[in-house]
Amino acid sequence: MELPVDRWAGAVEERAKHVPLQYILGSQPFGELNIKCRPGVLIPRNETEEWCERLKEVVEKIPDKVSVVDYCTGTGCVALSMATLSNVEKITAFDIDESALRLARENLKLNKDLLQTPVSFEKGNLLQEKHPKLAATLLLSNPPYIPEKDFNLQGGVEQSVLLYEPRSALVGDLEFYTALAELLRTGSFKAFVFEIGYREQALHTKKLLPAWTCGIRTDSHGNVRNVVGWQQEWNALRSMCDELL
Amino acid sequence: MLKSIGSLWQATRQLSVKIPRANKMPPRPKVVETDIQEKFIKGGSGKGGQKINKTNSKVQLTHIPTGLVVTSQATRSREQNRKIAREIMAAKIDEMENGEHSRAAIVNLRRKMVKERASRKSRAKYKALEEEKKAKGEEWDVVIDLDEEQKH
Repeated sequence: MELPVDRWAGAVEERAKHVPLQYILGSQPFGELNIKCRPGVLIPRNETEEWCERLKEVVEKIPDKVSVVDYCTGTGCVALSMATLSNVEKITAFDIDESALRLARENLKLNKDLLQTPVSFEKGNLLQEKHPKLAATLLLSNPPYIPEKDFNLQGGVEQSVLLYEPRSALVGDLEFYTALAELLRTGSFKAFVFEIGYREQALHTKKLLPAWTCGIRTDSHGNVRNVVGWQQEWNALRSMCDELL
Repeated sequence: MLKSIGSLWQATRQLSVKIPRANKMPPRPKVVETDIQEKFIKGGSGKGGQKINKTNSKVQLTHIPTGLVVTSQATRSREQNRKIAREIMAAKIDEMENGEHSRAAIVNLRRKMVKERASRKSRAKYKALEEEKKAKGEEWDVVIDLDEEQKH
């Protein structure tokens, strides 16, 4: 069992108060990885796991070496998941929050036997800073995407999320996609995959990137989940999309 | 090689038949990925992503040619459950297609054979002990008789 018997009663009480199971048990499986979780850092979602597993299938078939930048990395799950591939040579992951970076580095250590590539976790604010010129091929991000007006039960957000998960990792909208598009325009990226919660976020991203081929990926429950974009040589990403923009 | 699995089992009960080695079992069956349809089952509302943190790791597979459906929610890991569901599915199809020659049937038969051999050995051992005891008992009877004779 994942918890010793003497903690069962307490765990049940906590769960009854909507404390997320992942904070009680301290972890969440993510693909083949085991990701440590603790309050203050967003719990990796099944939907994120799903697109990462799908993306891995595409990336491992890319004939060249691939370098990855991941923004708003949180626990580090997306970056670490890419680090399990042998043709990925370098990964840099950013987060604005120091406690997230500490946890991400712990997760790096915890999963080091499964990783084939070094990952560096660095402090970075997607919204405020002058963006560094990033020389990488693939830009990934799962930015906060729940608009302020929907951050409540009526907006479909669970009690457990509202009460216990960090607001800063959840509340956001088009401004994050604007910043990500800016990185794409100034960097040398060939492809990107961003998680989204709303169709408008994909349309907004595409509008800022007229030179890119873009598509929307729907998750296994039929909700829009990603905006994906690529340049010619990454045409393989088309297979992830359910609709082209 | 014996004619059928059934007669092999009959033979094991009666005489000593060589039991196939554990590492000589038929290979684990595999499912053909293009024959299956995979679904991730999720409880609760239609919303997902950052709005929900429920773990939904349950996996359901449908085997398109036969319509067979299996699910797994054995672990919190969806990836693990995907593997487990495929193993269950493969074993079921193997049983349907190969009956008593399926891996499950043969592994099960081997288990029965091993058990039967063990109980045969144990029966033989106790029988031997019993006979030994009997033989000794007879000797002791003689000794007792002798003692009694000496008293007289």
